[in-house]
Amino acid sequence: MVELRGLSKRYRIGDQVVDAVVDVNLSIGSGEFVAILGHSGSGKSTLLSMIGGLARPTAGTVVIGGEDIWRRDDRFRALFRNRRIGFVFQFASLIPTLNAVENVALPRRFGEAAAMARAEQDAILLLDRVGLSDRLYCYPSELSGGQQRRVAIARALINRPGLILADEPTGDLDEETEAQVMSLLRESALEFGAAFLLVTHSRDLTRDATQVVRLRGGALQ
Amino acid sequence: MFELALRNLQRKPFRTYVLALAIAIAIGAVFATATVMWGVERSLGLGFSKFGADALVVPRGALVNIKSALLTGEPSTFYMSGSYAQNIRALSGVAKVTPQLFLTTSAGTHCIVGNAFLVGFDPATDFTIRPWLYQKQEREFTKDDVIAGGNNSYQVGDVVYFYGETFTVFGKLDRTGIGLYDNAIFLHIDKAYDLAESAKKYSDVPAMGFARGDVSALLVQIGNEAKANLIRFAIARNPQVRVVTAGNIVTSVRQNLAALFAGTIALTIVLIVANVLMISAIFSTVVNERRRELGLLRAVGARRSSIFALVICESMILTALGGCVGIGLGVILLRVFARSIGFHLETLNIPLLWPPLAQISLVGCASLLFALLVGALGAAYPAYAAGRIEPYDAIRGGE
Repeated sequence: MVELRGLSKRYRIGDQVVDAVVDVNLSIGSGEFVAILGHSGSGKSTLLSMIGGLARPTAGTVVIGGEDIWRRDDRFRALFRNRRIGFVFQFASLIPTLNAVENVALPRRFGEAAAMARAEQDAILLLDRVGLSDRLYCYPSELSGGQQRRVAIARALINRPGLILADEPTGDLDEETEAQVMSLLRESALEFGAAFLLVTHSRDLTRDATQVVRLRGGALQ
Repeated sequence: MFELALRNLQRKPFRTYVLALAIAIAIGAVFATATVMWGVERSLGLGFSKFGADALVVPRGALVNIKSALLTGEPSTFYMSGSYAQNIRALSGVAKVTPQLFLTTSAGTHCIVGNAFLVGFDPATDFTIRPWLYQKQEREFTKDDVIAGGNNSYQVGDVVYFYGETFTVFGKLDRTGIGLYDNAIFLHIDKAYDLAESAKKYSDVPAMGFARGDVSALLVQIGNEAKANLIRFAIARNPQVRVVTAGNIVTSVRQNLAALFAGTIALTIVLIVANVLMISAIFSTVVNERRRELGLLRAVGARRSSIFALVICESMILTALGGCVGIGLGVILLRVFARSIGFHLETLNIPLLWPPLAQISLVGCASLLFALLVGALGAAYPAYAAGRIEPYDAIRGGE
């Protein structure tokens, strides 16, 4: 499903060169739950962004479903992200001017017109699935942190992605909500048969992972 | 995309409305200036171009009088031999020559109105009066008919009398912007000679000062292939006449208005440039404010072009709103213009001819397109920059 080969990312900040990710090799199979564990600044979010086609690697390849995504153009990657990848970020990543249904349906706006026609209906089903059937038309400012995260999870699932990338998805949530969100993510990945890649600094969240890799100083250990 | 852009604008209503108002002021100025300029140009340019004559030949010494007559329509009388028409007609390159005879009505009971400007013309050769007819009777013009200028109160079918002779108002001219044509009453030139004879029987009417065959002016149309300057020069070789061109007449009026228009246009350009810069500055801020959201949109599948289009769309909705309000403001400005510039023109006895509604609508549409262009230009760089943001940098930028 996902093959990382010699993946590296080097930043230049003024005169200083920072190796954020160094020569990462990793394979993730379909339906697998892989946790990338590391401290703050270890390069785990950068690694996730390169896998998700959001940040260009300095070296190496990211092959997803047989496609080397960084050898293709921006248009392809945009479509690829839209169709094949669901993102859940470490902050409340909702558009404040859209209600819950519209936020969940947002990826459909950048896809096919036919899919857009069913967007609201699918968004409502997903919100129901994440337990927000009574908050469908609430705006993000009217939702709690946990509810916002559930909306973001529903949005990540709207196009039935093959790969779910979650970057510290429970960073600012209390323990109970954290458990609910993690359970929801894991169950959704299983239901959709999607590979689930979790980036976290919390060892507790990696309990159910099929594969746990540690990142330190940008390199896998 | 449109809906997303619209929602973004609703997010900060005060900023949106202030920006739209700024655009509205500029577009209102553009719309009003363009409409007034078109109207004034129509009054001057179209009027004189439809006048149809490339040159006007008048008696030597009548130059000031003819300018006054043309511009203000004040009755003015001067005469020369009509035989000059033959000489001019014989010049190579001259297409048409038609005579006009100027006379005035007398105060008192002999005429329906005193001190009116009567112009005798030759229907057989006329090419300048009848093209302006916009109302007329469905029959041929006869010697017992007159044609009323656009400013006259007479209507088609009315009966008027001059020096004891009665005439039917055969038709009425559209307003031309030429005082002479708007204020005068036109009759057959032969009838004008007859009137001069009729007037002699009234002891209180002074002699008209011309004989049958004399004319006040000869209107000359020069062929397209001919060299106008050479023909004017050839005509002017006759020491008894002066040659006047329409350009001579309008120049002084244009000069009076040119400074006013130049100032207005300069102010409008400054306003537009200021608006483009303002939009650019505001949308650079907007893009920075929304870096994370733009990154998120990229993460869920928006292409660079989608982000570019979103920012441009937002700016264009804003300027379109400003443009629509601006056109409304422009209409109010036009009413002010009508009272100021319109009054200035009226003092010269030149009516301010508003462009037809279709053309005003066209100016309105062009102003709206202009507003959209301002929006697109102003937001172009911020939108381009927004499209180039690396999604990951944008998402992390908000942390």
